[in-house]
Amino acid sequence: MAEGMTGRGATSRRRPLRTPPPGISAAPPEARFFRRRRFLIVALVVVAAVGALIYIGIRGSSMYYMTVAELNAQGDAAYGDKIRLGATVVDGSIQSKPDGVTRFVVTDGTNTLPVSYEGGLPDNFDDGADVVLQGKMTPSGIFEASSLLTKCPSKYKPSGKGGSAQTGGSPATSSGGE
Amino acid sequence: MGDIGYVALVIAFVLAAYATGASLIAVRTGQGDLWLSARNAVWVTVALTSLASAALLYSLLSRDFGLRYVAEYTSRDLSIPLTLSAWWAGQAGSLLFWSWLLAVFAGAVLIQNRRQNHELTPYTLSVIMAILAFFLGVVLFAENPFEKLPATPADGLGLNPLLRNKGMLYHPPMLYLGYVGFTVPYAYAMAALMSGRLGNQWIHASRRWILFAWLFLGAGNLLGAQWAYTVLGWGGFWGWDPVENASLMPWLTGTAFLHSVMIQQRRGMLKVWNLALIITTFSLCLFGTAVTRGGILSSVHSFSAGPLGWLLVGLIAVVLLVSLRLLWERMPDLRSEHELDSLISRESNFLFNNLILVGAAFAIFWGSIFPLLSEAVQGSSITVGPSFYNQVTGPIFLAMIVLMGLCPLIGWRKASPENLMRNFLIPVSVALAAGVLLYGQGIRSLAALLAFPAMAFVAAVSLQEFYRGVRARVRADRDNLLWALPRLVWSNKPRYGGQIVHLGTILIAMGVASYFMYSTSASAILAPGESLSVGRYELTFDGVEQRSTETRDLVAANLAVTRDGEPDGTIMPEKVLFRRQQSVMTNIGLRAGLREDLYVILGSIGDDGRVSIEAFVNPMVTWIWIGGGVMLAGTLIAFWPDSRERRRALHLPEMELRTLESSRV
Repeated sequence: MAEGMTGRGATSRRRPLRTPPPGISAAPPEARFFRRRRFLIVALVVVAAVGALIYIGIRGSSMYYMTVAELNAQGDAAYGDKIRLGATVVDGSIQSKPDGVTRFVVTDGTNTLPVSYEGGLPDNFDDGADVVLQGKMTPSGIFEASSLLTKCPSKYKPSGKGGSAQTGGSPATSSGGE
Repeated sequence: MGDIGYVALVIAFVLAAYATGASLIAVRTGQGDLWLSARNAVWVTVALTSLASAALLYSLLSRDFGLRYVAEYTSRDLSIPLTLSAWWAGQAGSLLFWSWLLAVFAGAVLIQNRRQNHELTPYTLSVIMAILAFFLGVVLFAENPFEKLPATPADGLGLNPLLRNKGMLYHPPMLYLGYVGFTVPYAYAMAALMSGRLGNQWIHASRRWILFAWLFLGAGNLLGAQWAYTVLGWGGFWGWDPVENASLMPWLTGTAFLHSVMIQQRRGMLKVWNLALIITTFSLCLFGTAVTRGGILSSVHSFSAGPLGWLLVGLIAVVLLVSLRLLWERMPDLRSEHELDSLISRESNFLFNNLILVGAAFAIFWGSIFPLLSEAVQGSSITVGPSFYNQVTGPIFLAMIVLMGLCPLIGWRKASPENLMRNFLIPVSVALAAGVLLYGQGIRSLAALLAFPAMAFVAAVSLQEFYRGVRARVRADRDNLLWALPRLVWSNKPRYGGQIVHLGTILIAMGVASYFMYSTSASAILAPGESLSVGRYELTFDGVEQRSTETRDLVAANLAVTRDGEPDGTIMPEKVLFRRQQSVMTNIGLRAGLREDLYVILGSIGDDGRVSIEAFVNPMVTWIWIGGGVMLAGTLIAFWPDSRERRRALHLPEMELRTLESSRV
């Protein structure tokens, strides 16, 4: 135990060796109230600061999460807004150009939408892949994606067999509020 | 084998339900026989879930494709370790894995409490077995891994090639160990509430469990980050994906809990807060399982949908209702024994650190469920991207780091000015020096000028702690310098283990902050002979190399590297084609170093022999993994049995203990 100390005997001597009885501190009640209130104020400041950060963050970086049908329904109103789009890649639609731009078509089962995307492609990006795109609609009717994520199913599914119908992230369920 | 496994699970389910009721009735009515019977039921449950797990593993290894689970997650070409990892790769199997872990933990709780906590243990066990019964019920009625296929296929579908990585062997089970591990402290907390033994007993009993679960949750996350870093398509090492968030949240509240229980042990305060925190943490663990496994949030890890997500949400609702009701009933007995004496004391520092940790978890939670909320409120789903999380958690983590540094400097109860002066002098000077140095290096970003000096401050505080301890030992015991440090650490393992964990955290923070602030990249489409420069590197494309193995074809781009103009070997990012699945995977080219990583991705390969290359220079990323190792070491030291713990268990008066352990005031 002696070796448990850091050897600063002086410090422990400086501390008053009295235990206040449980629940009662030596200070008069109004001082206790004041101390507690002072603490509460600081705590509230911390909570308010976190709240403000969340509020500002949400305002600054929120995006609509849409399906192809919802995006089409928006029409011209959707131009320029940052949008997240959950959809499935249409079989055989992927065209990779040597300039690094990939063009493909996505669908929610009934509606389709052409997409262009510039950047590296995830490995399981393929026909029938469920993708989450981030980007905006352009007046030309092409969705310009700035980021592309594929969902990762843990089991392998043969491609071209209606992948969207059997995966959990299918657009049909996505629109249900995921 | 499948039938044996299924029958074992049915009996285990019945016994788990029996043990839940029996141990509760036993402790309420004082029937020793019934308690013995409940304990036996626990042991049989451990044996039966182990048997069911063994049956599943045997079916996986023997390629019994007549079972749907085996056929869906494995194939003949899958290596043995990855075949075994199918235990947790799929939904049904991972639920069996969950149940098995929980059953084993129930057994461990029995062993731990053979000679102590007789009033608490039956309640603890009852809670654990109730949760186990829930999971076994889900396995039996909703997600049966032993379900048979009408006809046996010749081969299985096999694991997704992306998951054919050694990460699959340790990342998921570690997270599960963390998630399941938090069940035990939660059960102890519920036992305290149910039995009315609301003192520190439940905290002493659950301390190791908390550390254990916290360690594995953290390690699982970090290993997942490392995996994501080396496998393209997952967005760097951290993408603020709902599944990642879901496992970070209980880690944050768990960290808060680890700290706030210290205040209860020392000062008898924050009892309600501690109980609320462990209830929250456990609920978040269930939420994490629901998000990971149930697909209730849209995520990159979209494993599967099904009833499981909503069953788990139901369980969370029940857990919250029951726990909070119990807590409410016990409120009058949970008054603090002391009050906060001063704003500048270790208690209030811990409290603020708790508020901030919980605040961070709340911000992440809010961001994760915002799509659901906005859908419910205004009809359209609004998501927040990574920028939200970076923007919100950046300042919060910075504040956390500062508090982490302040904590050891400020004494319990109330700090005196001269104490503050003496303790702060060196760390503050170090922080200022670091700031000046960075400014001199031409760094002008405010975030960097705040973050890095703050980290230097914390590191200086930790090192000062060690230095003072060593100096005191060398002076007092005439320990030689070589032995003073290990002996110091050994003399108070929880304290110095904690300090080592803090140092590890700082290393991780340093790596993460450097990565987010100073990662640079360049991309180009290169014909042979052309080159691309990124940072101080220049990469010259020398053509592609192809080779084939039994199951895959590999294409690698051969890039000659020069660093600062000096030739420095080659780097070869690859594309891998899994022939049977016709599925492509990228192996990045990575040259990791202490100062920076050169990280190269091979994009597409054109028919004209040109390749698209994306290259990154990521500063200090290696320190994240090193920091993880340091944290692991620190946690293990804190985990190790310590003599002062035994004294505490003997209920020495609090004051005496505090004198014995006196850190500085």
